[in-house]
Amino acid sequence: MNERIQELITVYLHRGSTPAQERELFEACKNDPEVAEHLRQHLILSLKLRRLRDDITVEDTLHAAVSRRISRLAEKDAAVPSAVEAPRATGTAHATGIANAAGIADAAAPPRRYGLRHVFGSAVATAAAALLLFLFLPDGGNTPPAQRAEMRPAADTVLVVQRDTVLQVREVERPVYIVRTERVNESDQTAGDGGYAASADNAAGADAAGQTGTPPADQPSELIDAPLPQSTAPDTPALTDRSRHDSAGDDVEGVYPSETDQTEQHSAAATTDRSQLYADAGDPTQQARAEKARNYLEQYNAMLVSVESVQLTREDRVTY
Amino acid sequence: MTERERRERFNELYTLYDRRVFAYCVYVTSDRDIAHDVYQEVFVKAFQAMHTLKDPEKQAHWLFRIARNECLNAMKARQRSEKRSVDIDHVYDQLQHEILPEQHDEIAHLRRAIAQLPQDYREALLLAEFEGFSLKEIANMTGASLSNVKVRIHRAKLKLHAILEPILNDYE
Repeated sequence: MNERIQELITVYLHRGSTPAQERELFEACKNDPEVAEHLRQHLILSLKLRRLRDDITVEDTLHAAVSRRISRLAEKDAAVPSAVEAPRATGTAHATGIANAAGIADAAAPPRRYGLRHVFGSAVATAAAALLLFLFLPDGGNTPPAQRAEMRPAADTVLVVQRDTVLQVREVERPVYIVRTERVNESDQTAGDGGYAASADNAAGADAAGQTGTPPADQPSELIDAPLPQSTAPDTPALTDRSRHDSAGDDVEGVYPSETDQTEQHSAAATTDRSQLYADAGDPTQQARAEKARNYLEQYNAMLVSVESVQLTREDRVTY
Repeated sequence: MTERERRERFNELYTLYDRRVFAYCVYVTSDRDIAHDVYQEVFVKAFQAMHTLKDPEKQAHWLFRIARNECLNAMKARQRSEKRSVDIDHVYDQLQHEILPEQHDEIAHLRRAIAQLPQDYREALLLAEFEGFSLKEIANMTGASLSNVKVRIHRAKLKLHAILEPILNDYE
């Protein structure tokens, strides 16, 4: 059987043959019985295969399964609202008209899928804002809240003054007791107090711990026993120990109120001391005059320093 | 296309082709269980893609193209898993109840012969003989060239002839 006859049989059986090819095949069958037999066997095979196909039946359960799935799908599609049609751009109408005229079907628009794009967008914006905040915060925002509170400027400043010299400048955040040291008479002086007595009042200085305005009974003796600093230089180590500010009566010797009248009182006491210090030197009259002039100058300087530096509130100031 | 139109067209398609699609699936996959699954998938996908069917005259071609793809996917999955073994005799036993006693030997013989064909030969033969698609349509459906389709069908028939020679010679 040559290939040409095989091809003619194939195209004949599968609806591909032209009238010329069919005529050629029938002529071959008429002339050659072998070709006719071959064609017959092909036809029988096709017949049997068709019968084989028709023997297959679809079970009812399979029909029911397909029907169920299709119904579920239809319900699901009906529940989804149709996508909002995007506005057509200018000139699209013209293109649509051409497409309609040419019989070109409009392509089905793909379903819009926004996904989580907007969620990711806001997440990125939030992350960027957080990063900026983190970068621009002092020390990266790692400072605990308690430390941040300490970083605030001190609420007040107190000068520690001996005579007219500022010995210490201290920052206070809590109410403090301001104690005036003064020279007392020998008769009033208690034994062994070194010539000093301290009076302390605190009209509005009661702190949160419930301390009263008057320091505890043992504090005056501590104040009296504590030696006055002789150097004019500020006592830096003592100043930097901030923990000592917490107790109401600690380390308050030599803390003077900044009021002018108080300064005058202090100067009067200082004058007495100086007269004793210079008792052995030169003419007492000249010395007294020079001392008086110096006292005025010191009073003036002390007053300036007090006005500039002491910023206690009215309630915190000591009333004498 | 409205939902109602879609449903009507699908029902029409299903009524026309349900048996033919199932037969195709059974003989191409040679596994009735797989054929059940593939059959369902074919019609579900057809329902979902009904809006893409523009020309009703080509609906058979369109539907069998879906069926072919689904059969190939199922067979690839079976090959990957290798859990199922293709037991042709088991498939034939399942199909026993559908065959008349006098036809049993002949049809069983025919089924066995088809199952012995290579997959691409079997596919081309079934599309041509079962569904009556033209060579050009089969070439379009399978992606093979026209001459290749001719060769496949011809060789498939030669093999079947060799296997079925006694039956074909005894045919009256």
